[in-house]
Amino acid sequence: MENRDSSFVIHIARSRIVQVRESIAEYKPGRGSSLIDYISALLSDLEQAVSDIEADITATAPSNRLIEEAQLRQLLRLLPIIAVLHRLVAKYSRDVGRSDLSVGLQYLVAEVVTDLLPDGADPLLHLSSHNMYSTWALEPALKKLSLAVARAPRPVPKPHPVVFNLPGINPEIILYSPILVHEVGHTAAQRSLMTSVISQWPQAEIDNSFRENLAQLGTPLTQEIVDDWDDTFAGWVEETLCDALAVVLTGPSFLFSMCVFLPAPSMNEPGSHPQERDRVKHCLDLLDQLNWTPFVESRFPEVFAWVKEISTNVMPSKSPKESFLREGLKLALPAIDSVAQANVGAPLKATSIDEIMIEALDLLSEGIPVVEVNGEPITTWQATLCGWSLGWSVHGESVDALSTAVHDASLNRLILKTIEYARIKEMWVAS
Amino acid sequence: MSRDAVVQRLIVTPMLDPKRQIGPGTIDLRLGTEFIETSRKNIVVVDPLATDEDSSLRPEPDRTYVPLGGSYVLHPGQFILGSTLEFISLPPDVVGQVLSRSSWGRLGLLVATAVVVQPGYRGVLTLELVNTGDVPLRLAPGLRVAQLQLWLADSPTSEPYGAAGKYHAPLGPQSDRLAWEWDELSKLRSIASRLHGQTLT
Repeated sequence: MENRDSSFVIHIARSRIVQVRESIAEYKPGRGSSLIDYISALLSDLEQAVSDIEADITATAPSNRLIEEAQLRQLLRLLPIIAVLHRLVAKYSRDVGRSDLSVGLQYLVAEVVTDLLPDGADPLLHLSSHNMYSTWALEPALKKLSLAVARAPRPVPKPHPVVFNLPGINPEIILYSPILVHEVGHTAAQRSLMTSVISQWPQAEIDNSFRENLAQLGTPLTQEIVDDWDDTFAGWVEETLCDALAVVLTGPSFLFSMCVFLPAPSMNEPGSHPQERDRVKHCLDLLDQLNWTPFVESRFPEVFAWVKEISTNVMPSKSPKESFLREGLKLALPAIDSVAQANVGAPLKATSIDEIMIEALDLLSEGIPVVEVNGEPITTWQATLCGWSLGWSVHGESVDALSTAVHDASLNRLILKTIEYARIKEMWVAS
Repeated sequence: MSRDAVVQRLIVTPMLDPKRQIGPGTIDLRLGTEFIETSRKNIVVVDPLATDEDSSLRPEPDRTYVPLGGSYVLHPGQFILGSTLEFISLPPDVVGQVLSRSSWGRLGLLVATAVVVQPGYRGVLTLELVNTGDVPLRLAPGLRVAQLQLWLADSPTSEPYGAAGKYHAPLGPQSDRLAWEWDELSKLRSIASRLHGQTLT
């Protein structure tokens, strides 16, 4: 092994760093630019790391093979990190400050961040090739990269960048926005809310259910099985917490969007999410706690009857694992719902919603965006619920009407404009 | 509020500052948040009467959305479509006329539009924005750029200008709709071929 190998790798590393740096040289600051700022800082750290290793090589006595090999390994370790930065820039740099998504959607995202994430977030709105909503909080991944470069990780300044993945085709279906709220809930859950839930749930009862169901397995117990049950349970609790956050913030709109958007249930082993029937039941129970039942039952009678039937027609558990997951989740529900209600910035209230909707729907049904109701700017979630109500009445007042409403582009655009106008009015008055 | 009551109302919304916007004879209108620009493509001619079959001749407009507090730079000679921030709904017996505000004209900004707003019109108003000056202009959504004058007709029109269906009123700038006049193009082509043995394309 000769120093020539190290100098070749140094040359490759430097060229790749320059390549990534040049691709972000022209970007303009905007929403999501904290990712680019951090990558720029990491590139400087990488440049320093390469220079440090190069200086070390120069200072080392020649023909010390073991040291040369160690230095080469240090260099080679940096190349995958540069590759990850390349991927992040290639994938997300065009999303920084993007201006091809409607202002109503931009305002909605900002509002969801304010409502669910007290420490804030710098959103990158990304159009995904998947027809799904999801979020990816980048801070843990960025910190890990930083730790791989330097002894002490470079802190990620707040607000942390979070990728909001929206469907690549039709990203502006506002009636699906409660699904986005659920997804942002994952960031809230991972930052602090899961810890709150765990501190409040009945640990002893959950442990008992765990042991009793494990005993039903009839196979030798392994750490792998225990970890698998534990991880799946944590996942189910988090999913249920995200459902709860979305119900508290958006009211019945989450139930409607979930009914239309929910993926097909897993027929075999328990999947990453609870059974959809259990999720619907939980949503109905929580809506009832929040006094929404009379509203849903009177305005959407067919839908209410349908979801009631779904929620009561629950399939039995097919395995000891599923049995534990469902029992444990049931035990954890009071803690989940309590944490959700305590941690939503501006929950949608059922009181006076009928009066608000009557006035708003008079205008919306004529295609006129609403700005204020009773002298107050209409809220984003009041507007979204109005959208569901209008779609329901225009498209036939049946269960199928929900699906038709979701794909009514004009209806979605009208509600987005309502949200835009109301937020503009609020900002103007407040400034 | 009944449907009739809505139809009979003059609506200009959102009205951010009524004291400043509503004058003795006009209502000031603000610049909206959505812009259409037609980017230059490698084609010989833009033919607004191109049909769907010839859509490759029609450059796809780029839409840009700028929130309040943001800005859009209009370069010398550049033409874009914007719209009013305000959504307008005129009763069937009211006609409107939109004019640009002189303060912007003096900076070289032409804010032209289809001047007459028909009775019963609903929607935001598309604004044709051209920078005729020599320096780039930074435009900001929310700036008062146009004025709406209103006249009361002697009687309501029997055919108010209306959208084809529910909530189809324009909520952002509309690009040209000349292709909708396809029947007239067919006539012109037919006439041309009879007179000269030629077709227009």
